[in-house]
Amino acid sequence: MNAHKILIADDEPYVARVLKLVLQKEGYKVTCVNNGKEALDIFATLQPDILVTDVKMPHLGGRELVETVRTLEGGSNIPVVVMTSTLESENRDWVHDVGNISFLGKPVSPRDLVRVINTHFIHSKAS
Amino acid sequence: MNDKQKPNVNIGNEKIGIGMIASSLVVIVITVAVFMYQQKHEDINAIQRQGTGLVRLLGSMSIEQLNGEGSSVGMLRVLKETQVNRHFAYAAVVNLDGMSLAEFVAPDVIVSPMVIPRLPSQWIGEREYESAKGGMIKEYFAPIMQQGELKAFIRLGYQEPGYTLNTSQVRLLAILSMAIFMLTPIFYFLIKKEIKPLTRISGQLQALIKKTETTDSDVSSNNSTKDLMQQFSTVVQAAYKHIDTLEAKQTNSVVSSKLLVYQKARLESALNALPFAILVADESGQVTYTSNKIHNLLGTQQGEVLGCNLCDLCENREISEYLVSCHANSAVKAYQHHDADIYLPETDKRVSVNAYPLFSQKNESQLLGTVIVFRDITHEGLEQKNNGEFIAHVAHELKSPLNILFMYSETLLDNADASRELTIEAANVIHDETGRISQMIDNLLNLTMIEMGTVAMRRQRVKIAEFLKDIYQTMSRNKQVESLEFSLELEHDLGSVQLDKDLVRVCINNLISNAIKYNKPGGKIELIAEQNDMEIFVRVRDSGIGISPEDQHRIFSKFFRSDDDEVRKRSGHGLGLSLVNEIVKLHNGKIQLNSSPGEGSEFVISFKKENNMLKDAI
Repeated sequence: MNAHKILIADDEPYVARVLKLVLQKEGYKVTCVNNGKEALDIFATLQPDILVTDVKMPHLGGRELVETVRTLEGGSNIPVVVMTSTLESENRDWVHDVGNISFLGKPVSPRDLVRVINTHFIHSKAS
Repeated sequence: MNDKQKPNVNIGNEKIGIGMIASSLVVIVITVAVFMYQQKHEDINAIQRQGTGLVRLLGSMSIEQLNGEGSSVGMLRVLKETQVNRHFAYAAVVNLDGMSLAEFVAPDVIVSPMVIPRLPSQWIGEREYESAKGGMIKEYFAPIMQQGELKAFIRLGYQEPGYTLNTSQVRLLAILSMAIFMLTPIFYFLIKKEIKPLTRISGQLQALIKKTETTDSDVSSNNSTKDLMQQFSTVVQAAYKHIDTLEAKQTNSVVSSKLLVYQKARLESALNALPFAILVADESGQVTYTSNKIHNLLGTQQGEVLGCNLCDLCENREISEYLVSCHANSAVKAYQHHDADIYLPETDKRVSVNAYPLFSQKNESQLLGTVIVFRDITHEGLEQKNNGEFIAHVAHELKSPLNILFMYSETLLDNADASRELTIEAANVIHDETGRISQMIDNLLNLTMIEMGTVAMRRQRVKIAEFLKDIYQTMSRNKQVESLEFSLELEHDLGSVQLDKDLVRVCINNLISNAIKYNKPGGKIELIAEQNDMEIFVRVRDSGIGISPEDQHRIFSKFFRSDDDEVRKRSGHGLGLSLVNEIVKLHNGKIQLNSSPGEGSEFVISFKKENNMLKDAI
C-alpha cells in the first residue's frame, strides 16, 4: 500500500524535524519545506495527501499558501492542518472561504497532529 | 511752619518792600515825564500861535514904526524888553538883499542869513533850521509893504522848547512824590500784615505736599483772617487724616493686587504645566480662559480665542458641535458627564475632550459655565500600538522555542523506546533552545532597562586592549568557533575609554555571536581594534552570508529578522543588534555597518577616547 504523503511547511527547522520523525514513525511519507514558496514549488510534483503549515513564514505565509493551493490542480480539496499561535487566532475568518481545514494551537502537540491526520485518512477511507 | 521756611518768607518780604519802592519811583518818573511832555506841547503851541499872529501884526507896520524914529520907541525894542516869550530868539527886519536893517537878538543866538523868496505866495511863512550854536530855531517871516511895494521882511525866531517844567508843575510834583513816598511804607506794612497768614498757609500747603506735619496750626492773626485760618487748619488736619487713610488703603490694594497677580501667574503656570489643555467658557458660551497648550492642539492663534463663542472656536466641525452640545448639556440640571475622542485633520492630532460644568461655590444650583479639558492622545495611541506590537513579538519569539521544547519532550514521552539518536538530538535541541530563551530574556531585560532609562551605568576606565583580549579568549572557548578562523588584532598603545564593562561586553559578544551564527563553514572572524587621536574603533568582521542593502537600514530595529533563507535557517529573535545599538548610543558612541551579501559583514563601533571625553565635558 502506498504510504500517504504529507507536506510540512515551517520555518523552524526543529519543528519540521520532530514532526517528520513522529509522522514517519506512523508510516507516512513526510516532506519538509521552509516556507510557503517552497511548498508551492514542490506541490505539483509531490501531490501530497495532506498539507501541514505554519502561519508566519518568510516569503509566503500559511494563509497565502493555502489560498493558492486551493486554486491548484489536486489542491482544491486537500485537507489542511494549520499550526497557529493563539495571537494569530483572531485572523481566522479566511478559513471559511478555503474549507476542509483544521487548526492546531501552538505549542503543537505531535500526538494531536498524528491524531488529526489519522482521523482524516480514516474518514477518507470510510468514504 | 518749620524753620527751613522762615528765611524764604523773609526774603519774600524784602522783595516786596524793594518792589514797592521801585514801583513808586517808576510812578514818579512816569508822572514827571508826562508833565514834561505836556509842557513841551503847550510851549510849541504857544510859539505857533504867537509867531504867526505877531509876524503878521509886525508885517503891517512900517519899518520906522518897527525901528523907532527919533524919540519914539520901535516895536522891536518893545518886544525885546517885554520878553514876550521865554523861548524868543530874535526879531529882525531885513531888506530885500537880506541885509539886517534892525534886529534884537537874545543872548547866545546867532541869526542865520535869509534867502529872500521870489514868489509873492512864498513871502509869508515859517521855516525851521539848525542854529549855528546848536538847537533848532523856528522862524516866522512876513513882508513889509509900503505903498503896495515890498520893502523888507520881518523875521521872528523862537528856540525849540525842550522838556522842562514850570514852577507850578514842580510844586505839584513835589507834593505828589511826598505823598507816594509816605504811602509806600504804609502799603508795605499793610500788605505784609495781610500776607503773613497767607505765607503760613503756603507753608502748610508745602508741608502738606511734602507730607510734613506742621506743629503750629494755631495761626494768630487779626480777626478777619483768624476764623479762616482756624477753618483752614481744621481742613488741613482732616485732609491729613484722609490722605493717611487713602494711603493705607492704596498700600493694601497694591499689596492685594500684587498678591493676586502673583497667584494668577502661579495658577496660570500651573495650568500651563499640566499635560492637557484647559478651556473655560462662561454661562453664555463665551471663552473666558484658555491654557497655552490649546493653540498647539486645535491649531488656533493666541489672542483670537478669548471672548469668542464655543461654536466659533475651532474650524473642526466635530469639535465645535461637541463643545456646543457640552455647553447645552451643562445648562440643564440633569448633567451627564461625557467625553469624546476626536481626530483633528488640521493638526494631525487625536484629542480626548472632557467637559465638566462649573457651579458657583455659594449657590450650587447656579451654573457659572463649563470647563473643557483637551488631552493629546496622538502619541498615547502610537505608544499603545507599539507596546502591543512589542508584546506580540516577545510572545511570539518566546513561544517558538517553547513550542520546540514541548514537541521534543512529548515525543520523548511517547517514545519510551526512542532511539539513542533521537534522545541525543532532543537533548541538544532542548539545550540550545533553553539557551536561546535565556539569551533572549537577557537581551530583552537589558533593552527594556536601557529604553526606560533605569539601567545603572557603571562607567570605569577600561583599557581596550586588555578588555578585548579577555572577550576574545572567552569567545574562543565556544564550541561553534572551533570550526572557524577567529583572530584578534590590536593596534599598539591603545588608549582607554570610560565604559560600562558589562554592557559593552554584551554588545561585543552579540556581534561576535552573530558573526559565528551567520558565517559560512570554515569562515573567518576578525576582532580588530584601532585608534586615531579622537576615537577608538572596534571592528567585528566576518566572512559570512552578508546583509542585503535593503536590510541594512532595518537591521538595528527591534525584532527585525531578514526574510533571507540563509538567515531563517539560523535561530534568532531580532533583539541582539537592537541591543548593540542601544548600548553604543548609551556610551555616546557610533556604530557603522559595511556589508556585501555573500561576502561578509563588518560592524564598526567607535568610542571617544578618555581624554576627549574630558575635553567634551569641559
